[in-house]
Amino acid sequence: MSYLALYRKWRPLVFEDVVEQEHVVKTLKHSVSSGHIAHAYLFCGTRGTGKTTMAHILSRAINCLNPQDGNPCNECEICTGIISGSILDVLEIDAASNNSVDNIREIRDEVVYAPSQAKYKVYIIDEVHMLSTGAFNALLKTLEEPPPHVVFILATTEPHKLPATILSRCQRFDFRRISIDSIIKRLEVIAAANGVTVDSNALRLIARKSDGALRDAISLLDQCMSSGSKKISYDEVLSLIGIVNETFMTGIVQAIKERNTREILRLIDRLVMEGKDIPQFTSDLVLYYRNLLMCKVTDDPSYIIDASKEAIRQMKALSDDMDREEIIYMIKELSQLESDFKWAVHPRVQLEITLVRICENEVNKLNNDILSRLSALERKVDNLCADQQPAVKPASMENAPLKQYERQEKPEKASSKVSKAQMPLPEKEPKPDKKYLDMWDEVLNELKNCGRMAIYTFLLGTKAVELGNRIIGIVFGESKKSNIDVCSRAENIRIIEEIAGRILGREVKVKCIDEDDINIDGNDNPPDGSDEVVEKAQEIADKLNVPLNIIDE
Amino acid sequence: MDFSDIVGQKEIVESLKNKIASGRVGHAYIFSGPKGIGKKTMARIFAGLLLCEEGSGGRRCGKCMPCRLFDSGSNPDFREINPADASIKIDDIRDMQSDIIIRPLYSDRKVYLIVDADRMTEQAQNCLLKTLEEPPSYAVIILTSSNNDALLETILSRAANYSFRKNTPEEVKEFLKSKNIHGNKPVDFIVSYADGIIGTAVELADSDEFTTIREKTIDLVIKLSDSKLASIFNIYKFFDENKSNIETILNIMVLFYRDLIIAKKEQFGHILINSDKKDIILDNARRFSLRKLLDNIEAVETAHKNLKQNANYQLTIEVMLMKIQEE
Repeated sequence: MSYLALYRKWRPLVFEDVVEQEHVVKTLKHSVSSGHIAHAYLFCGTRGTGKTTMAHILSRAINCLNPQDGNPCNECEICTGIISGSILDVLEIDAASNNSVDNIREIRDEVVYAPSQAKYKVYIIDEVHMLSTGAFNALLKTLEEPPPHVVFILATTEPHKLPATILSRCQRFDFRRISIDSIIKRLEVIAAANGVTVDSNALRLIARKSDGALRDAISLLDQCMSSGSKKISYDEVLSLIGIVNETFMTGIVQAIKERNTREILRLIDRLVMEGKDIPQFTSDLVLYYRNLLMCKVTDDPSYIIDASKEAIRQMKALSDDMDREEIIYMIKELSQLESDFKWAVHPRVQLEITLVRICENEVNKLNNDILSRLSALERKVDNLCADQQPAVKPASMENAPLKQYERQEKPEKASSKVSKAQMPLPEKEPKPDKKYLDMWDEVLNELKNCGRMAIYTFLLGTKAVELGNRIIGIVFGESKKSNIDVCSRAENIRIIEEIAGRILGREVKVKCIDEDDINIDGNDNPPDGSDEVVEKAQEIADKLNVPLNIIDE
Repeated sequence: MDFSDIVGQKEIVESLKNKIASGRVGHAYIFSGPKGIGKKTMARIFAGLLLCEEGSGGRRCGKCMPCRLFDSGSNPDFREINPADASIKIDDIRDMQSDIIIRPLYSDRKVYLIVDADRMTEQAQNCLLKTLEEPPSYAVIILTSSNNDALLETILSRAANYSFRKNTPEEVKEFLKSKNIHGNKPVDFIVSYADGIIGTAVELADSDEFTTIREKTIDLVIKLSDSKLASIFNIYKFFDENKSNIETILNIMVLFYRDLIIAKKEQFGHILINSDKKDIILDNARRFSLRKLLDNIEAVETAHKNLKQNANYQLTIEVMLMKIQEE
């Protein structure tokens, strides 16, 4: 007979050998030894946890001539017959390829006949989730009340795809994922039986990689063993799976931490030269940062992180002088990168660019940092606008004197007079535009009368100035600056606009402005340059995902 | 063809050879890796070896009946299942299942090669599960897949998974040299551009169009940063003419900007991708700020993404050009 893959060769033959499903084993053994055998079982759980195996064992256990404490003897003629497939009373049906109503009807027609040799006729329906709706329904009656000599065992990885009517007719057993330690134990047994020694590190890596599925783990071991050597080392497994070792990880994390672009680029180059898979590396890197985060937030990370003591110690040392925010930021960026790989033709370039960008940004304290950078940006924008302003248009001149008077805190009327005297203005500009609005107090009073006390209080001590054709600027003095935000809310602005409009007898728009900025704001046709700056600031803000409020009139 | 013709993939070749030598041939294999890396080639070589009666040391004898039939493509014990159109359907798999129970005719084994198994429908994959787990003792099933995410977990866990590694740049270079097909092409660039995939490298080295497009694109990138807004519409002409190669162009742009960044950051230039353009790159690296380069790459990537999502071609390209142009 040809070579059997390890996972088939080592398929357990008795209940005890099934790894880590004690809750299932106990119940099944008991029901076999006490003779309480249900007519329908449903085994569900992720791949490689022992569903099909359990079904095979159960089918023998209930038919065995010589059961031992609920286990099949695997020696009597029935057991051997079932194992070799010569007894036709145990039928294994692949529901995925026989998923139509007709296939089920065949079963229904057959169940009435008594078993030929064994005690029970067992139908193992594997991958049962793939049956069609019609097929499920055709099975219902048979499944509920089959003849006494029939046992159904359904097995599936996806129980949620079964109709509730099927689920309620079966005894359901959920198979657990297998813990890393149990996988290691089982692998040790198999390796020893094959005369191969495997490093404990290597075993752990295989177990971790297989994600709770024993079949995956055994397949991997099989693959490692096919290199022919009698000793399997950690590095061999690493290179087989195609992931990098701890030292490399620590190296690159260290380089990122130090913002050492050169070292990062060198390491990525090495990665490529060794032919490693970049997306795989990236997700490993995310996982590594996750572990660092765990080190940061817990006292004893060994429960959460599955790694050797030495590795954990290293992670702890590495995470010591890193911020929690920084780690989270890295995880975020790299996860984003992972999803971007879908589009990428050159994962290498993507990885390089992302890491270089991270190093450039020097965003250590995430939010705080972005905020401070942003406010610096806003200041720059303001300055830029201010610089450009005088050179552009005569219209912008109108406001220069205004600014002066504000600083001198002169009464409104005086200011308007002086302004007229000092600076002859272009005639087409209507006069009232140049002074504070007299009616503003009336507006405030009206607000009070309407019961808008909150807004009234916020606006107390402010002045208003006409900025352009239908726009009124509310000027907040030095001491009132903090009120700008509240007053600029859309709902408040609307109320002020409504009332101001009523008092002035025409429709107006209202803007809240800072006393210092009045010269900018008065400039109703901003020069193109400032537009560009504002746009750029907005763009940068968008990239950083932070809302940016620019008073852009 | 035998194993010695395969460039790189040493672990896989060794492991497969060992399996044959020691008779520990499993029943199911998945060869996964990017397109053009040589999965199918490897699978065919492996299949040929499995069927051969007298081969040894990883070589087929080429004389026995199965070998001769295999070479002429008519060995009934070897069957290749290819996606008929977009996918491999459940009927294809059922077909194979009814075929697999027939004993082999000439050899001890029967080999099934399912090409692009990631294009099996979900039903087809489920249908394959039982067969894949416990096929008849003489059967070997090989799947090739360029996207393991599209395969069910249950399929993956039933087969020995060999993931094909991208070749190292040196290997690709050697291969191109040994095939003598590089002519006067920028070998280094092709090697880097192919990103370790020999199939792509050979294809690129064979194509004159690719070389011309690259020259033009790099030329354009350099011009772009000096140009005026209005000239964008002239530059767009180039994109319009090469609409079918837009992906290549955008990639070349990204790689070029990437090199500028590297040149800015690194004093030594051996990890440049466009190594034949070293002078141009070093000249230009100084002209851009790092942030601008990063922004440019992002602009190109965004355009790339949008085009894949069927955005308006002209609009996307012009927006990209403007973004790159603005200081």
